[in-house]
Amino acid sequence: MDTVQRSQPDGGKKDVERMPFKATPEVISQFLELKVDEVLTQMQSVGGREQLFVKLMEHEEYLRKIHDFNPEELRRQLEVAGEAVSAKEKFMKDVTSPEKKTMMRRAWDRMKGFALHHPIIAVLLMACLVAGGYATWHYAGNTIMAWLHGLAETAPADVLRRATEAPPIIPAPPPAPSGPWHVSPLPPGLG
Amino acid sequence: MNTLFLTAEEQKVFQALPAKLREGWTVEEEKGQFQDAEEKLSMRMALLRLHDPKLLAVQKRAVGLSSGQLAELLAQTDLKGVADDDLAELTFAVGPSILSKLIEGLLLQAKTDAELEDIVALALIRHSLLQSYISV
Repeated sequence: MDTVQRSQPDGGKKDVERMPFKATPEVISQFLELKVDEVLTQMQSVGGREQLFVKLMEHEEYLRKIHDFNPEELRRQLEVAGEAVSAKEKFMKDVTSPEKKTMMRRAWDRMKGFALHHPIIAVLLMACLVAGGYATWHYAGNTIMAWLHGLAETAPADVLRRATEAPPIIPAPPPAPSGPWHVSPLPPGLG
Repeated sequence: MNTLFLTAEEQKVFQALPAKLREGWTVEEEKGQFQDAEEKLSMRMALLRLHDPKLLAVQKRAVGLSSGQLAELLAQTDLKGVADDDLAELTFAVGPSILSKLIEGLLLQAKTDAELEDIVALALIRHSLLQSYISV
């Protein structure tokens, strides 16, 4: 196992597994000391993602020291992030637009009522809710992601049955010295 | 709201429903496509931004629960009163691929107009999701 020493709350040090660097907006925001909204804006354009990549690569040596870090992987993650951020912005604008508001309001009202006769919809949304609480900081595949993704691979005739099975355990995050995240901020002066 | 946005495959399932059930419903072809992946799903989760204090409290309480306790927590939480924006956030996180599986699964079991109305709502939301990925 590839490990790195991390400071502990009691002042000691402990060998912990070297985690992959995950390019979520929060991780990049913390690492580069940028506002999250600024990171989200940059992620939406090719030029913006390139700027983030260049800024992160200025700290390649440090990143390689504390993370399982690969520049090509970072570039790919930024592409995935950019696609998701752009699509989400378009979706949220669309479903709240004045032209669609009435229609979408009826759709959402219908969805809210699903819990009564389609409990699996509620389970699905709640699973995303809980998984989202973890994913902000370390979007490594975890068991609930695998469960959700598995639904997309299931034959339609089985999906309702499968979705009613209890979602898997969400493990508590490992203790961290100063927060529930795995990214060590840059040492002073390197931001 | 009586238009169903259905893929070619889903339209076949719809056409196999009893004629009386299909009566009064209009079908439009859903042409949007999206190839999901666990990494993309994970990134959508990382982008989740909720505001409802009830939902945020569920997120905090869910940490470290066993599957039985989680199931109990989820059963105690309902979506009534949740703002549309938060519901939109959760739906974006789910993504169009899982919604597609649900739509087809629900179509296979549809027996009433009320159930088709549910599918109309899901399909409309999925349509918006798929449109959002075009020319991204």
